Amino acid sequence: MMADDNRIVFIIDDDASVRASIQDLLEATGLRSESFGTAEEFLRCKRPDGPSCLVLDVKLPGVNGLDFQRRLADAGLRIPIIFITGYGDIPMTVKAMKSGAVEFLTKPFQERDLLDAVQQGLDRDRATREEQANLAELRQRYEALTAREREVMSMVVSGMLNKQIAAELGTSEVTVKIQRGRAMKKMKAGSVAELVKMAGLLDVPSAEK
Amino acid sequence: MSRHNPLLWPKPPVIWSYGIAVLSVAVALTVSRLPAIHLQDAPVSLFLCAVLLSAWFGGIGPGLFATAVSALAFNYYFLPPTHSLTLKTDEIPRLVIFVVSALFVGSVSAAERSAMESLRRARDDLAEKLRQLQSTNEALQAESRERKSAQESLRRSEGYLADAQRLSQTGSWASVVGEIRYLSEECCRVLGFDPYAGQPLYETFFQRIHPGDQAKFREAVETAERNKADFELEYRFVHPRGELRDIHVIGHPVVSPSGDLVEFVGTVMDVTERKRAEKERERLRQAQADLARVNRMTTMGELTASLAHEVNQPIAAAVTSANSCIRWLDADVPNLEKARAAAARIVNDGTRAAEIISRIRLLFQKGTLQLEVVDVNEVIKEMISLLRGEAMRYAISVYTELASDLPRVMGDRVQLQQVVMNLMINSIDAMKSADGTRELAIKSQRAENEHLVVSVTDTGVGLPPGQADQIFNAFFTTKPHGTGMGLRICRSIVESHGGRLWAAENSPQGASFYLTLPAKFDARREFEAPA
Repeated sequence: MMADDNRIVFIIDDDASVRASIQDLLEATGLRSESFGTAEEFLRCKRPDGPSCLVLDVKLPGVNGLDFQRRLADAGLRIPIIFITGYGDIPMTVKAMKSGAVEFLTKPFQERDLLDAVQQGLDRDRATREEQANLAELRQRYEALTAREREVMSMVVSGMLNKQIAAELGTSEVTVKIQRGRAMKKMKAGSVAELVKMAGLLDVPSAEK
Repeated sequence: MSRHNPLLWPKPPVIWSYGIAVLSVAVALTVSRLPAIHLQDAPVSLFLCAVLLSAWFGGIGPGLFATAVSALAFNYYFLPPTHSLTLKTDEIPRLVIFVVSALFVGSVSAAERSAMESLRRARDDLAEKLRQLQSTNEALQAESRERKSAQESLRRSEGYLADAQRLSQTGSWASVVGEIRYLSEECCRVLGFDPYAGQPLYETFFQRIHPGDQAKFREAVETAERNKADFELEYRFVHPRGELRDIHVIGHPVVSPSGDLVEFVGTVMDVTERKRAEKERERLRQAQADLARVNRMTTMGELTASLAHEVNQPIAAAVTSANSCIRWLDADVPNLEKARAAAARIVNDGTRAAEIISRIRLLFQKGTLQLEVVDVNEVIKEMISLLRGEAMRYAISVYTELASDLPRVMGDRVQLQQVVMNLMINSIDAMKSADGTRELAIKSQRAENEHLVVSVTDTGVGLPPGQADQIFNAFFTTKPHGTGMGLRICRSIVESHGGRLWAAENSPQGASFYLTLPAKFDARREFEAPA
């Protein structure tokens, strides 16, 4: 158990007893959790930043779990969801899984299944978060580039030679070389291939030849 | 019609005729002897007048009689010697001439009278004839009028008949085998013949019968002819334009007093539309039955879903708590406090699950009954009409024996329908694969203690051997897709109505289900009673 573990599992179930038992089980396996009786409570609370997943009862008062899943997605809240239900049918399961659910469990569920699903959900969220953090940093680096460096970068990633770039921009080949080196350094790219990959993630438009 | 003539009055009776003769002679004698008019010397003409009169009125007899009396009076009073009947010889010619004259006058008068009489008779005869002729003529005219009106009413009644035939699409016919004797206009129309083209030949008619039905038709007709019996059948008939119609024919033999078959008379009716409607109705019934089945399954499905959800909630919580309890105990440093808390939650959840189940049972037993006065016979009839198509599909005959004096019950119509339907469907299911007779009998009757009893009996596979008591248990089923809840729910419903439901083996095969219900059972009282 790591002290700096900031992972958290959210639970939404209208049954207090189910909520308490899941929370207790997660606690026994060293996982932090927070539980809510309604979807609204969950939306209102201030959620700590860190890898998280949601254990969601399909049959909630006032709102259907599947509808809530869509609402979260529409709001850009991409938290992995593990559905639990008292009585699930195949169409319901298919719909939930198609919408990106981690798992669909029927009560009473196996301890192992729940814990595996929670683990999977947390891992998936961690990966997503890392990706997003990387992307944010890349964007930051890209923002730090001057207008000319961005121009040069997009020409480089589209495969143009220094000579061609210089002709295009009307400067000397030496100047292009310096600007290119600066852009690579600012972007922390070790090679042109790495720069191309970053441009792809940042959706940088490639220059027309 | 004879004109009145004073001289021609009818002949008086004989006695009167002779009286007239005596009287007229007496008058003639008296007048001629009157001294005032001096006729003593010429009495003859007066006597002749008397004779003439007598002969005229009385005929020959009285005429002769008057002649004789006149001759005597003439001789006595006027021929010398007077006042004596003796006669002088020289007076004889006078007397003779008198008598001859009298006879002559009398006979002429009588002859004249007789001629006139016969003339009159002839004229009377003629008048009579004329009258007869006239009355004959009148009678003839009346008869002619009558015939005309009879013809008129015949024509009208034929018109009515034709109208009736057209409206009811029923034609009439007369025929012997091999020969059509008569087809009504409507009959022609029904069979697609031109009504104005004369009677078709029997062969033409027979050829138009659908080839698949010709043998059936021939056999029915020949059997009827052999037995001189009524016949009735349906066959398909091809109209000239190739249209296929369903025809219903009824034939009745006409037998002579000596017992010979004269001909067959009967009706034909186009039942194509009716058959189509019947098929349509059958399809509708089928759809209803399907719907009922789906509805039943949906209800069961929903029930199971909500039941599962309710009960699974505390069970899930308990299982999860048990898991974490084990984890707290298994930890390197067992956390007894946490383990105890988890165990306490398990106790709560277990209790809660039991409570939910007993609540559901309560719901089943005395749930939201919609109480009304229910005629159980009506419920049975409704369910039969709903399931008749289903029974027909599996060649099951449905019999009912419903008591007309069945008491009404106070209950939930829909739930009672559900029970009857469930029992009937079970019976039908039990007979689907059974060999031999397939009979579903539903009976209702009055029972003791203000109860009624309904029995549903089938000839199906019967109750599972050795498990007759278990069929009412929840989740017990012998069907591949059964829920095992049907009979359980049925029993709950019947018991919540204050009745009983049980099953018995049938001999030689099949099962019987019996349910009793109290007449006008007051379910409200039952609700208030402590559980």
